[in-house]
Amino acid sequence: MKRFIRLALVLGLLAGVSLAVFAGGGGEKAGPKTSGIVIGFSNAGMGDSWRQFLVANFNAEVAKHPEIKQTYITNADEKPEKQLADIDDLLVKKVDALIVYPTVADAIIPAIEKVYAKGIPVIVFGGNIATDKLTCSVEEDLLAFGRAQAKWLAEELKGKGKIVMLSGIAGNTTAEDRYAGAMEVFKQYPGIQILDHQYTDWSPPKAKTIMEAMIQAFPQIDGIWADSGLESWPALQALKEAGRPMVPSTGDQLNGYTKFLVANKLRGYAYPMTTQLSAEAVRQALKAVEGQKVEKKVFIAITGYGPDKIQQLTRPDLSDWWWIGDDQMPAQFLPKL
Amino acid sequence: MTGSRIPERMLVATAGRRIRNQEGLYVAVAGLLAAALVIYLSTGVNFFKPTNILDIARGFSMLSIAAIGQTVVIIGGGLDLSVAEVISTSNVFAATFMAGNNALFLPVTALSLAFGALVGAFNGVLVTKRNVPAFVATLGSSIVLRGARLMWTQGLPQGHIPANLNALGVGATFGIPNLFYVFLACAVILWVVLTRTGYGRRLYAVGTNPSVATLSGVRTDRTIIQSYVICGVSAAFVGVLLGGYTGMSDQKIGEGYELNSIAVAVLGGAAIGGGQGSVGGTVLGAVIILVLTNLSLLMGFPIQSQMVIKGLVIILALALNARRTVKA
Repeated sequence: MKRFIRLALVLGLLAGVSLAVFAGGGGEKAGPKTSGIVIGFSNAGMGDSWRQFLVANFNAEVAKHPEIKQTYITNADEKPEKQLADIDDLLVKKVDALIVYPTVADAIIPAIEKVYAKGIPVIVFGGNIATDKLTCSVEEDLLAFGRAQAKWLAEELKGKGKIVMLSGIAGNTTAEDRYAGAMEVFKQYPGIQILDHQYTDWSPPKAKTIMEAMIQAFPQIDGIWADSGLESWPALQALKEAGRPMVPSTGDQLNGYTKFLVANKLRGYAYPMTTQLSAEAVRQALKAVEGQKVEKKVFIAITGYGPDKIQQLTRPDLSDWWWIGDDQMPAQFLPKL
Repeated sequence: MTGSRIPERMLVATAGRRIRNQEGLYVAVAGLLAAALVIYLSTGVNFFKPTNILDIARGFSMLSIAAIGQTVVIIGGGLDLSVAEVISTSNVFAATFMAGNNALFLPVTALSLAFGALVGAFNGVLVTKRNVPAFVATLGSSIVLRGARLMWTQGLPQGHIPANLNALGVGATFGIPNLFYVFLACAVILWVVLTRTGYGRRLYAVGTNPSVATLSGVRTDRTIIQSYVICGVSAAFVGVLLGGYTGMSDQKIGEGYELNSIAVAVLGGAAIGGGQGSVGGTVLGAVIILVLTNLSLLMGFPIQSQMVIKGLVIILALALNARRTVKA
C-alpha cells in the first residue's frame, strides 16, 4: 500500500512538472506582437546619478510607445547573484523582451543565453559581452570616445603642444579603450608631446593630487586629455590654484565639469558616455518583439559637445552630478531633485 | 577611574616599544629624503621645491587625520573599515546642508562631526556589547551607510561647498596650507589624549590585555567605544575637509581611505591586535607613503610600479616591525 502511495505521489509530481513545462513552453513560442507588449529591465544598480539617468531615459522612451503595456524594472545593487534572481523573476512575469544592464558581464552570460534559448528577445547594453547568444548588444564605441576627445584636443592645440593624460582605472575596459582610442589619434600628430599619463581611479581628490604633481614636474602644460570630467574638473582646479595658465581639456557630460568650464570661460570638449543607451535598448527590444530584423551589435551614434554646445547645455542651477544633454526629455521623467 | 591602577610595568613596556618603533621610522624617512636628494642631483626631478612640499602637505594633512583616528581604534585592539563611508557620507552631508552658504560652515561641520561620533558609537557598541568582531561590525556599518546615503541622495548629491570651506581646503596662511594647521591641531589634541590623559593610559592597557585591564578596574567597553567615537569624528572631519579641497561633494570621495588609514597606522608602528601605536608613528607613516607617492609621480612612474613600490614598503615595514616586537 505504501509503495502504491509513493508511486502515485511520484506520478502526480511528474504530471505537475510536465504541465508546468508545457504551459511555460506555450508562452515562449508566441509570434510577433504589436500591442500589449511587456518589457523587463534588469538594471545593475541605482548607485549613482548616471544610473538614474539611464532609468529616466528608459522610462521616457517607453512613454513614446503605446504598444508597450507594462514594464518591470529590477535593481541588482551591483550583485551578480541578485541580478540572476532578478532575471528569473522577470521571466516569471512573462516579459516579451528582456533588457539587461550587466553587473558583471561574464557572471550573467549563462542567464542571458538561457533567456535567448527560450526565444525571448534579450537586449544587453553597457559593455562588451562575450556571447553571441543574445538578440542585440547596444554599445557605445569606447575607442571612438577616446579618438574624438583626442582629435578635438589636437586640433584645438593646432597639432602642437605638451599635454598630460588622465585615465580612470588601470585595466578597466572602459578606461583602456578610451586611452587606446586617444593614442591612435595622438600618434598622427607628431607635434603633440605626451608629458605623462596616469590613472586616477575616477576619484576627483586623487586626480587633483596627481595633477598637482604633474604641475610640479612640468613647467609647461598646454592641454589635458582626461577620459572623464571627474578628472579634468579637479585637474583644472589644480592649475587655477597653482596660478598656471588655464588650458583646453576634455571630459564627459558631467555638469560639474562643464559648469567649471562655463564659469571660468574655458574651452573644453565633453564626449558623452550617454545614458541614452537604455532608450536605444527599448527601441531594439520593440523591433525584436514586433518581428523586425535586429542587428547583433548596435553602436549608438554620439556627437561630442564643443565649447558652444557646452555653453548651451550646461545647467548652472542644477547638481554637479547632472548629465548634460541626457536630460532632453519631458520633466516628469527626469531624476528627482 | 584613573590610569594609576594599571600595572606600571605594562605601561613602561608599551612606551618602550613605541619609542623603538619610531627609531626605524625616522631612519626610513631620512632614507627616503636622501633618495629624493639623489634623484634631484642625478635627474633634476626636484622633490624639494617649496610648492611641491606644500602640495604634499594638503594630502598629508587629510590622510594623517583619518589615520590618527584609525590608530586610536587599533591601539584599543580594534579596526575601523567604515572610515571611507563615513568620509563620503559626511562630505555629501556637508555640501547638501551648507548649500554654498558661508554662515552654515561651522554649524553643519559640527553636525557632521556629531554624525561621525554616532557611527563610531554604533560600531563600538556592536564590538563591545554584542561581541561582533570589529572587522565584521565596521564592514556592516559601512554597507549600511553606503545604502542609506544612496537612498537619501538618489545618486544625485545636492548643494555646494561654501567659499570659506573651499578656502580652508585650498588656501594658505603665512605660506603654509590651512589644512596643515588643521592637521597640527588634531594631531596635538590626540597626542595629548593618548599620552597625557588617563583615557590614553586606559586605552593602551585595554589594547595590550583587556582581561588585565578589566581586573585593574578599567571600564574596558567604555574605553573601546570611545576609541571608535574618536575615529568616527576624525573620519567625518576628513569628509568635510575633502569637500574644501576638491570643492565638490562626491558619493565615493572617501574610497581608499579605509585601507590607506590602516596601512599608514600599521606602517607607523600600530599593531593589529592592540596595545601599540602612536600619533607620531602614524604621522611618520603618512609622510613615508605620501613622499613615496609624490616621488613616483614626479618621476612619471606608471601606476603599476607605484603600487608595487608602496606595497613592498608596507610589507617591509611590517616585517621589520614584527621582528622588533618579537625581540622586545
